[in-house]
Amino acid sequence: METRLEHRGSVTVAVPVGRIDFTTNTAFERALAEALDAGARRLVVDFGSVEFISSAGIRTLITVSRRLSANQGTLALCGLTEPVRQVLDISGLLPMFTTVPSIEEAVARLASPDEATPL
Amino acid sequence: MTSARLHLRIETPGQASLDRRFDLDEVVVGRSTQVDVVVADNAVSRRHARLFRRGDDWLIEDLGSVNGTLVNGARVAEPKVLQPGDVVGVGPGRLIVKAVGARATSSVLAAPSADIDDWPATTLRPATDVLHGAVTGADATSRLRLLNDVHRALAAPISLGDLLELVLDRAFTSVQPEDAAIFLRRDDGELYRAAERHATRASGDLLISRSLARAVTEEGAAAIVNDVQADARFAHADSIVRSGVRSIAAAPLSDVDGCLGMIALYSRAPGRTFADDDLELLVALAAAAALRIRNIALVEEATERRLLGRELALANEIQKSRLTRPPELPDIDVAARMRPARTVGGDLYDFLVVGRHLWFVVGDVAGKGIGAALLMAVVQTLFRAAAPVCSSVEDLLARLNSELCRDNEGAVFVTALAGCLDLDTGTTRIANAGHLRPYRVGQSGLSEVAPERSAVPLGLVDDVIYPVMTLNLGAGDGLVIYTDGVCDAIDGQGRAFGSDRLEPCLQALSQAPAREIVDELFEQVDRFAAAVAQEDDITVVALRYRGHAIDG
Repeated sequence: METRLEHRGSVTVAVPVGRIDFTTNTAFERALAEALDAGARRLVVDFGSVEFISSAGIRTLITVSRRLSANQGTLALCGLTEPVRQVLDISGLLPMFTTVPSIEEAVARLASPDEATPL
Repeated sequence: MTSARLHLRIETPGQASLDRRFDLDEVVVGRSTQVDVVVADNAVSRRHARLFRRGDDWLIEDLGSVNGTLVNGARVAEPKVLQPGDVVGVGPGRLIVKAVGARATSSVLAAPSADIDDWPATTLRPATDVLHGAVTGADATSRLRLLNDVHRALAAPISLGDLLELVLDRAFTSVQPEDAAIFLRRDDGELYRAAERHATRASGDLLISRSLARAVTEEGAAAIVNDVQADARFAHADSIVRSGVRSIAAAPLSDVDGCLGMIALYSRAPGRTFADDDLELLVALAAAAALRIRNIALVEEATERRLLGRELALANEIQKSRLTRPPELPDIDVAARMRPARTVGGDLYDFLVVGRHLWFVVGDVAGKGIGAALLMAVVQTLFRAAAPVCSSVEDLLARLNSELCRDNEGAVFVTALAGCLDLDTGTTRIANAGHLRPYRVGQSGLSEVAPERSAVPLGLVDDVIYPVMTLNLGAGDGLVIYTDGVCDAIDGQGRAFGSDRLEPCLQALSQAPAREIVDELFEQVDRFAAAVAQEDDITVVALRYRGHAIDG
């Protein structure tokens, strides 16, 4: 598992690749935390290359979402694969996150803060 | 690479000698902290002497100092042109002119990474070359002394934290950067800042660009980056630019077994850039430190493992003591099993008979280890305390939730399914907080018990109304409740067990006794996963209503 960080204007895009399970979540969590530590306030997580996310990974998303909203930041999830969507759906957490189909949409949405859905 | 225009070796009382290159047109020497070269001694005037450039020449003049300025022992009356080898005396301080004039070209250094070839302000070369060429000529004695000193200090018993401090200490006295940091590699290869030091107050995070870190830690290069301000590679490293870092020298912490991280020195002083000599010293220091870091890391890891082992054993005890045996009642057939993953799990189940009602809960705490085990124990305690006084299953979950939401900054959450079965009628109410949907098994085969909507797990949001399903279980009808460890179990090829395998398995067992359902499901998962160690706890609870026992 690897998490790539990209910068698109004021938006930081995190691209995890692989399974986010209990073991690999540590690296995922660290990558996102580093982005936040470096001052990222508009974060998109692109799940296009994630085929599995465990509760540990979801916990990371919740923590990140909380940290962001405490700092007037925003988080959006994009490219949810079916298994990831299912986990979020069954656990009732889907409505807690802003989800958009594509990374471009996510970036566009976050780049204009007025239109971003507050979390 | 272009070197600076004036290269001085600065020797002041009580300090290690220091090489500095000035890319300025004027260098002022004096006692004041506002000048370029500080000689802190009462025999030195605040602004004592000035070195300045005229064309390709550098000249020196006395700025009306009380005790005068000397060049090779002769007092400077008028501006005097400096030559390499000249020794300037300012009070007790000595400035040795190493090189003067227009930009001199130093050796072109090999750049092992194509990635950084087009990065003009950077020079890279294999650290091993730097090291082997290091101790030569007239500088040899002081350098050897420093290294010997370091080696001696490193030989004494020392903790990792103290060692890193010591290394930074030596880097500061020998190279005199404004800031220094040591980055170490974690198990997953990522670098983290393990220690740092600042000459003045901290001025933002010390960062390293990814490409530089890669060149140093993966390719074993020693690097100097000059003019960081102008370097596009640092476009995202805002804090470097903000804090005014102009030059970085970096060396790998490597030994024969590989790279442990890197040490980086930062300069913010205008006109001060790191030079080859600085890099040589840094590489030597880093090599000496790396051996010791490896050694300490091994010892600390062993200790940590022992501690962790103890902690896990304790967590295991907590967990085992909390899992209750399913109740044995004539009206109902119940079986349950939980198998923790490699460490200690966060799954839980519990039963409580209150009057003619069987209350049950199955949950999965997000996270592993002692924290999850303790939270699991908390949930069970709450369940046992709340169930007897709750009006309904949704009330029960709401109470658990509001307890777990209190001060839950770590966003620990628990998916949970709570149920209450009326032993007289078979009517069962189930409330679901983000948990996997259970299956109903019985005469009519298998069906998923899906609420009309999902609700979030416990511990995240206060005031949730949990969806409830009411099932009228007839004699022989039952429920199978499980946690995601079942479907997420993977085999050697990384395939998951999935509901595709779970459902046929349960279908075949739909009339089987509870014990058999649980055992057979575990058996199937184990056969599928073969010897692959599973990431998640696996829990299965099966219960079957036998019908009102008074008649039977």
